Amino acid sequence: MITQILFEIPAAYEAAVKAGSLVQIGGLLKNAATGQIVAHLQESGLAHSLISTAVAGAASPLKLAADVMNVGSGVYTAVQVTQLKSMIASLQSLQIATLGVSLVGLGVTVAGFIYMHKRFNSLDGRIDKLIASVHTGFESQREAALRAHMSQVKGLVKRAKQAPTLSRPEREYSRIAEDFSEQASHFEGELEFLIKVEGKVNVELFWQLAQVLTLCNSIRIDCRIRTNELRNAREIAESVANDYQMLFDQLTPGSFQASEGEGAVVAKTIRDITDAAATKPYLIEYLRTQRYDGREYLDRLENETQSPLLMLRVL
Amino acid sequence: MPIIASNSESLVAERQLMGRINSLWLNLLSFLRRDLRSFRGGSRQELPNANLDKPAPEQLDPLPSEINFQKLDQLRFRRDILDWRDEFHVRIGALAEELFSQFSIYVENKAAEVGFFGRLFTKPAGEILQTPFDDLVRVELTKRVKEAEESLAQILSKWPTTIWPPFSFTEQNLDSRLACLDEIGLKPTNQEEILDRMDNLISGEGGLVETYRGHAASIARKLIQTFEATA
Repeated sequence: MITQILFEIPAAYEAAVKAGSLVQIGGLLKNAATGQIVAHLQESGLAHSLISTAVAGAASPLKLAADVMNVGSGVYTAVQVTQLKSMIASLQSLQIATLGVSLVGLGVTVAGFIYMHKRFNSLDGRIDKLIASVHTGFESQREAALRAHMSQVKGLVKRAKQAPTLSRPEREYSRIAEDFSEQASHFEGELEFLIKVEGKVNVELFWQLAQVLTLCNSIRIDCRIRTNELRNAREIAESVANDYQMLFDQLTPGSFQASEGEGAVVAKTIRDITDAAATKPYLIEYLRTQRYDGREYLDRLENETQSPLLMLRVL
Repeated sequence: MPIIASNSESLVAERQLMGRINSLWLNLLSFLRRDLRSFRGGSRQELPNANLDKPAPEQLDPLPSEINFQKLDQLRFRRDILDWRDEFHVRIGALAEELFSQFSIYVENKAAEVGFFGRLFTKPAGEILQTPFDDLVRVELTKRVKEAEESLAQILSKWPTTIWPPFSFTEQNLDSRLACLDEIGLKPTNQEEILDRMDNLISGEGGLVETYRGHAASIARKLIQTFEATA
């Protein structure tokens, strides 16, 4: 195994992106002249811990930025506020237009399952309230099914959280990945229904369901990486990216029950999410071709305590 | 000079002697460090710390990549086109709102100008408002559409290797003679009804804005398909 994993901080690339010598596509940076991939943007475990603290329940991508800033003093320590601000600044300098993408994973999602559990709980609460209070086109049977699937997802996250204590967690991770695949299909179907149903799309419900879908898919991929099935992880990531394009490309700023301004932010966010998903296979393929150990890669990210975002330099 | 020579000879002899002593000393040290078990059966075993001297594990070459790097170009193109479509969507909507508000003021003023007899024998609103509507609304919307075509041409110029299908918007003459106002006379009491119908013509279902947005979406779809088919 080649074990040397070269991470850098995003600031090292910001000037080149600004100058145009590096081009950002989704979660990667390409040399504008040669077309070569130079680096992959990668969130660390710290990003998850910061985000899950308070902002996972943001009602929409537009409210997210405000929430991040407002919760600052109340929930975070001074160090965390600085880290969060630096993460936002990095995303903006790297020309990733929206913050929403940070909620669903840049690079390989480091599914610190404790944080995931918190996030699914918060999403579950919001979705529950939403379908109860807003006319969303859900019949009671669909509502019940949605609730059942949310419970199953939470159960799966619990299993994932406990998996490392098994003597051979690989088999458990494989089963969890398969089960998450089914859950992702369900939530994809729900989103499709929400989009196709007559009239405009309820932004908040769309945003919460989109987060559940993207998190389910991220965990599927994470589990495959943990078991070092990198080729399979790449295949899944490619298929997920195609699904997102099919689902989200049709949505425009006017597709939502919101002002055009808010609709524009939601549209930009889902474009960023789609692009981040579409570049994920390139990162996984890089790990595979460099013979990195998937588990070790995730461990490195989970143990990062300084920088929420890292750049994986391509050798 | 000879003194120096004899000194240098003695220095060389001295160094050779020191070298032999060092070598003997190292051999002795090595002998003393041997694992006692290695004396049995005469077999030689590695020293406990011998693995430090082992060569580093072989660095394997990277595996060949199985991913299509061309797809990155498709991704970039797709994003450029979708951003163009979304931006047009927002800008044409915002412009329509602004134009409708200007046109409303025009209608208000025109209706206020109608005198007593004019209110009794009203002229059809469509007849009076057709030209101002064309000037104030249609022309401006068309300008925005032309701007969108230009910005799209700029995006496409970055991808010179692809032969693009025609991508102009279709000229939009929806209800060119304002038939929607045919039976309504222009007077203050009809003002609200007139504006409702005009708002519908501009921003309502199947109206000018929706039709232009539909064109933009169809152009975007066609271009993405073309790019992906030729990549």
